Amino acid sequence: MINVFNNPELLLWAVPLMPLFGFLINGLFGKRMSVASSGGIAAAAVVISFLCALGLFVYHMNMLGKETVQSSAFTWMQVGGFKINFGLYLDRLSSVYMLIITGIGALIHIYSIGYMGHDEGFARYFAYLNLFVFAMLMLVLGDSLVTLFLGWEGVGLCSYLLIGFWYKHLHNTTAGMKAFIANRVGDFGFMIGMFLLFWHFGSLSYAGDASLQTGMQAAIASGTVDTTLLNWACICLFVGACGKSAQIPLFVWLPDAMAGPTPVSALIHAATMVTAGIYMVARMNFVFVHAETAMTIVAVTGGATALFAGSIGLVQRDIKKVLAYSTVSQLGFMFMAAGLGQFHLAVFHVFTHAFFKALLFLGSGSVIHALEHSLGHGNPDSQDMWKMGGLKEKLPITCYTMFIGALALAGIPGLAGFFSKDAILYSAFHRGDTLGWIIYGLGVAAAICTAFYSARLIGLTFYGKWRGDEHAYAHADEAPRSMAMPLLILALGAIGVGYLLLPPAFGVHHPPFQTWLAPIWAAGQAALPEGSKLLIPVEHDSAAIAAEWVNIAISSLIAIGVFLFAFAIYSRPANLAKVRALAFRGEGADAVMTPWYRVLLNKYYIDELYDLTIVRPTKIASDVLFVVVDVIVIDLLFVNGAAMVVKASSDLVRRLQTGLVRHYLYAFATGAVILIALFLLIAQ
Amino acid sequence: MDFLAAAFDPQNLKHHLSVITFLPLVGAIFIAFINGKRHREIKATSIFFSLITFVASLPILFEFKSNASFQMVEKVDWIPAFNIQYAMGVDGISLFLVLLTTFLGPIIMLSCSTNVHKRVKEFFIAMLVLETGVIGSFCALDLFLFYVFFELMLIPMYLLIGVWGSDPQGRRDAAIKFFIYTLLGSLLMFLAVLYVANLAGTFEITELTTRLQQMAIDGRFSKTAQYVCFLAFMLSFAVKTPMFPFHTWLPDAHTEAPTGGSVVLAGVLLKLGTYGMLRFAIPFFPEPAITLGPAICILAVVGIIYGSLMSVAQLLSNGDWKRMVAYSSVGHMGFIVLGIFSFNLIATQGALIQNINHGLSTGLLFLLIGIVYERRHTRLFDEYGGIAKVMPKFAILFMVATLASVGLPGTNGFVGEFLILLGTFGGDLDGLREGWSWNLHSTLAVFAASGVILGAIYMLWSYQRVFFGEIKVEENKNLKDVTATEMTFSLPMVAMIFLIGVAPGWFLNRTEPAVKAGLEQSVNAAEAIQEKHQRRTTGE
Repeated sequence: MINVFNNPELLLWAVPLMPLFGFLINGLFGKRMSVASSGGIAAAAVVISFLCALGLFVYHMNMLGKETVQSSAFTWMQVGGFKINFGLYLDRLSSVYMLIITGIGALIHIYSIGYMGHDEGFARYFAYLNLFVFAMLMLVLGDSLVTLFLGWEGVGLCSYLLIGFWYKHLHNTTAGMKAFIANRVGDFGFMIGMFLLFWHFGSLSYAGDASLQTGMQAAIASGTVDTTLLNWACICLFVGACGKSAQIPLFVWLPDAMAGPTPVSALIHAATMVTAGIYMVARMNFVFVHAETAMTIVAVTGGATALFAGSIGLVQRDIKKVLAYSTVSQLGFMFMAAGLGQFHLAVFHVFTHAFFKALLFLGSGSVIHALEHSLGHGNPDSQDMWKMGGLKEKLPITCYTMFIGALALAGIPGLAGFFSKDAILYSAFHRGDTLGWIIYGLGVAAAICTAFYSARLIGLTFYGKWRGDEHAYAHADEAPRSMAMPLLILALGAIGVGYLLLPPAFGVHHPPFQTWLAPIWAAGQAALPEGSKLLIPVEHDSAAIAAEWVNIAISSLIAIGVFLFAFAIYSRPANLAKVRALAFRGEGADAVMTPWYRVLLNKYYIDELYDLTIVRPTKIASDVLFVVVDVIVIDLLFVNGAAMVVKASSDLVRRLQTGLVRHYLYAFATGAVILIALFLLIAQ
Repeated sequence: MDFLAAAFDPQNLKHHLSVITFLPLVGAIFIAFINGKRHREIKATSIFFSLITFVASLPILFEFKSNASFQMVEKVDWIPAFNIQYAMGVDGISLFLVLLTTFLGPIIMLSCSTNVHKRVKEFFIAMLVLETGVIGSFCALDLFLFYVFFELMLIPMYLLIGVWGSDPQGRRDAAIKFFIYTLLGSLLMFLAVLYVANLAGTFEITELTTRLQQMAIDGRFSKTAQYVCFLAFMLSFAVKTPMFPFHTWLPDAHTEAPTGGSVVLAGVLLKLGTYGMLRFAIPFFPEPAITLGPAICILAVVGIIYGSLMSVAQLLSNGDWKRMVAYSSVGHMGFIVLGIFSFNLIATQGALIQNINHGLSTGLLFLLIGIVYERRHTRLFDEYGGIAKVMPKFAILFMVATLASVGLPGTNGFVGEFLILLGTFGGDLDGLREGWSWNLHSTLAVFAASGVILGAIYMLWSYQRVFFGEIKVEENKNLKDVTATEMTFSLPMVAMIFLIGVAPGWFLNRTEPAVKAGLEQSVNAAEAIQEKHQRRTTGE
C-alpha cells in the first residue's frame, strides 16, 4: 500500500481505473446486487479515486514539488509520423479538474444512493455514473488531444445514456439523442481543428518530446507562426467547445438534458462535463493566444450566451430548467474570461461554479424527491415552481443550503460566485477597448439576470404560500442523511472556495489559485508581445486597484439590489399576482401571454428555427434523394435498362432457380468451361 | 488429427494457406455425404470445419513477419502453357482479411445453426464453399487463380439470396439484381485481366505489377489501354464495394439475404472490392489511379453523405431495419475508398483497418438483427419499440455495435475513421513533400467528416425506434432475451470491437510495411510514367 502511495504513476492510473472497475462490477453483476452494495461500490470507487487524487495533489505535487506526473501504458495508434500514446498526464491544470471531478463526483454518488434507491434501474444508473467519471477523468488526464477526445466522446455517450435513463418515455431518449447529435456537430469542428494542428505541428500530444508545445516553440523561434491557420484551428476547436459546453449556437441540448435524473444534471450538466470545453481551451492556451480573432470570437460568443441564456432563465417555471439556463449562462462567463486571455479566471469560475451549481441541482433534486413521493415519479408538477411555495418549513436543510447556493450564484459579496464572477467582469472592465466594453456590458446584463432568477427560484420554491397539491405538501419530507450530507458539504464550498483567489484590491497579490496555475500559461504568456490585451496582469498599480474597487462596488450593488428586489417579489404571495399581470393579459382560461413573455418562454424560438432550417431540409433531402436518385434514376432507368438488355439471360437465371444442387453444379461447370475457352481463344 | 498437428508445425507453414483455404471445402464435401434430414450433424460438421479453419489460421498471425514481402508463399505450376500458377501468399494487405474471414466463419455457422430451417444441407454446403472462395481470393497471388476463386464465391452468394431469402418475390428480384451488377462488373474485368496478362506474359501478381509499370514507363503499355483497363477493374470493384452510384444492389441483397448471407456479404464480400483496388487496380495502373484519384475520392465522399441520407430516409418511412444498415454500409465503404485513393500512408492504413472494422461492426449489427428477426419475422421499425425492457442483454450488445458503427473512441470504428480523415486531410504524397497546405483532399475530408454527424443521427434514431419507449406491439411483450448460443457468437465480435479500438497496434504494425512499400512503388511509378508521357509529347 505504501508503495502504491509512493509511486505517483500507479496512483495516477488508479484515479481513472477505480471508477472503471466500479462500472464493470455494476455493469456485470449489478442486477444481482442490492441498492446498498451497488451504490456502495460505485460510491466507494469514486471515493478511493478521490483519495488517490488527493494523495497526488497534496503529497506528490505540493509536498514533493512534482510539476507533472506522466505515464504511458502503450501506444494507442501509430502510423508513419503520427503517434498517440494511451497515456496519462497530470499537471497543475488537470490536477484542479481531477479534484473537482472526483471530489464532487464522490458527493453526488453518495447523494444518488438516497435519490435513486427506489428506482428499479439503480444498477444501470450506477454503472453509467461510474463510466462517466472514468471518461471524464480520461478527458482531463489524457496526454494528447486524441486521448482527450476519447474522454470527450465518452462523457458524451454517458450523458446520452443518462439523459435517456428513463427510456420508456420517448421524450427523454429524444433529449439524449439531441445532446449526442449537437455534441457530434461540435466534435466535427474539434476533429478539423485537430487535423489542422497535426499537419501544422506534426503532433497532437501535449506531453513528451515531440509535442504540440515543442512544435509551437519551433514555429515561434523560426518566425513561421501561421496566424491564419492557427485562427482557423482555434475556431474549429472552439466549435467543439460550443457543443460540449453548450454555447451559442449549439446550446439547445442542455436545457432538454434536464430529462435525466437530477444528480446527473448536477454532476454532468453542471459541475463537470459541460466545463470540458473550458478545459480544452485552457489546455490549448498556448495556441489560442496566437489566434486573436478566434479569441475575440470566444469572448463574444461567451458574452452573448451568458446574456441570452440568462434572459431565458428569467421566465422558466421548471426549477431544473432555470438551473439549466443558468448553467449555460455561467459557462458563457467562463468563455468570456478565456476569450479575454484570463484563462485562470475561466478555470476559477469552473471551480466555484462546480460547488454552488452542484449544490443547487442537488437541492432541487431534494425538492423533487420530496414532492414525487406523493405526486408520483415523473410528474411535471414536482418541478413546477409555480406549484410550490413555503417549502422552507418542510425542507429546512434543503432550503438553507440552496439559499447559500443561490447567493453564491447571484454573486453576493463574500461568497464563492462573487469572487470568480467579479474578477471576470473586472478583466473586461479593465481592458478599456471596444471589445472590453461590449463584453462588460453583456456580462453586467447577464449578472443582473443571474441575481434575479436566483432570488426568484428561492422565493418561489421555499417562501410564500404553497400553491400546489395539498397532499403533496403534507407528505413532503426532508431528504435522508445520505442526501443532506452532500448538500451541507457543498454549501461550505459555496461559501469558502472563493477565498482562494481574492482580488488584488484586497491586498492579495499572489492568490493561491492563480499562483498554482501560473506555470500552465507561462509559455503562452511569454509568446505574447508586451502590452498585449491578452496578457494576464501581474503588477497592479494604484489606478488599477482603484478601478477594481469601482468594479467591485458596481457588481456588489447590482447583485444585492437585484437579489433583494426579486426576492421581495417572489417570496410574497401578494406580489405574485402583479408579476403575473406582466406575463399575461386577461384572467383565467382567457389569459393571453404578452409577446415578450411568449418569446422568452419559447427560448426565442431557437428550436423551431433549427427545425425549419436544418432538420426539415435534411429530412426532405433524404426522402427526395431516395425516391428520385435511388429508386427512379439508378434502379428504374439504369438497372432495369440493363435488365432489359440481358432479358434473355435473366430468363435463364429464373429457370436456373430450381433449387437442385446438381443443376447449380452443371451451371458452374459450364460457366467455367466457357470462361476457360474464352481465355484460350484470346490468349492465343 | 494428424493434419492438424502438421498444420501447427512451422516447418509446414509453406502449405498453410492452402490448408485453410480448402478446409471449408473439405467440410462441404463431408456434408454432401450426410443425410439431408440430419440437421444437427450437418450443423455440427460445418461449425467444426469453420472452427478448425479459424484455429488453423492463427499461426499465420503469429508467424507473420512485419515486412513488405509476401509470406507463406506456395507456388505450383498449374497451366504451364499459359504461365498460370497455383500461387498463394499473404502480405500486410491481405493478412487481416484472411483472418477476418476465418474468424467470422464459425460465428456465422453458429448463428445460422439457430436460424436456418429449410434446405439445411445445401445451405451449409453453400456457406462452406463461399468461405473457401473468399479465403482463396484473398490469398491468391496469381490473377487467374484470383479470378477463379472470385467467381467461385459469387455463385453460392447468389444462391443464398435467391433460395434462402426472406420474401419469395423480393429474393428473386434481389438475386437477379445482384447477378446483373456482378456480371457487368466481372465480365469487363475478365477481358482486362486477359489483356494485361497477355501483354505482360504472366499472371503472377508481383511480376505482373512490375512488368506493367515498366511497360507503361517504356510506352509499350499505351496510355489509352491503361485507362481502359483501370476503369474496367475499377468498375468491377466499385460494384463489389459498392461505391455510389453502383450500390443499389446492396440494400436489396441485404434485405432479402438470410442473416448468415448478410453477415458474409457485409463482413467479407464487400471487402473484396476495396482489396481489389489496393491489390490490383492501383499497382497495375498507377498513373490512371493517381490521375483519377481525386475524382474517385469525390465519388467516395458523395457516397458517404448519400449513403447516410439514404439511411435517414429509411427511418422516415416505416423502413426496413436491414435496409437501413445496408445503406449505412454504402457510407462506411465510402470512407474506405476515400482512404485508399488519398494516396497517403495514414489514410491508407486507416482504410485497411476500417475494412476489418466494418466487417466486425456491421457484421455484428446483422447478426443481432437476425436474432430478433428469428423471433418476430419482421424487420419493419414500426413493429418494434420498447424492447430494451424485455431484451436488456440484447439492448447492450446492440448498443456496442451501434457505437462501433458511429465510431466512438474506444471502439474500432474510431481508429479507422480517424486515421482515414486525418490522412486524407493531409493530402496525397505529392502535396506533403513540400509541407502541408490546404488542398482538395482537405476539403474532401471536411465533407467526409460531416458523415460522422449523419451517422450518429440515423444510428441513434434507429436505436430509439427499436429499443426505447413503451412496448406497443403485443408480440413483443414476451420476447426472449439472447440465448447462450446467441451470446456465444456475439461476444467474440464485441471483444474484437474493443480490442481493435483500444490496441490497434498489433494490427497497424503488421500492415504498415506492405502498405508503405506499395504506396511508394505506385506513386513513384506514376511519376515516372507521367514524366515519360511529357517527354514524348514534347518530343524530347
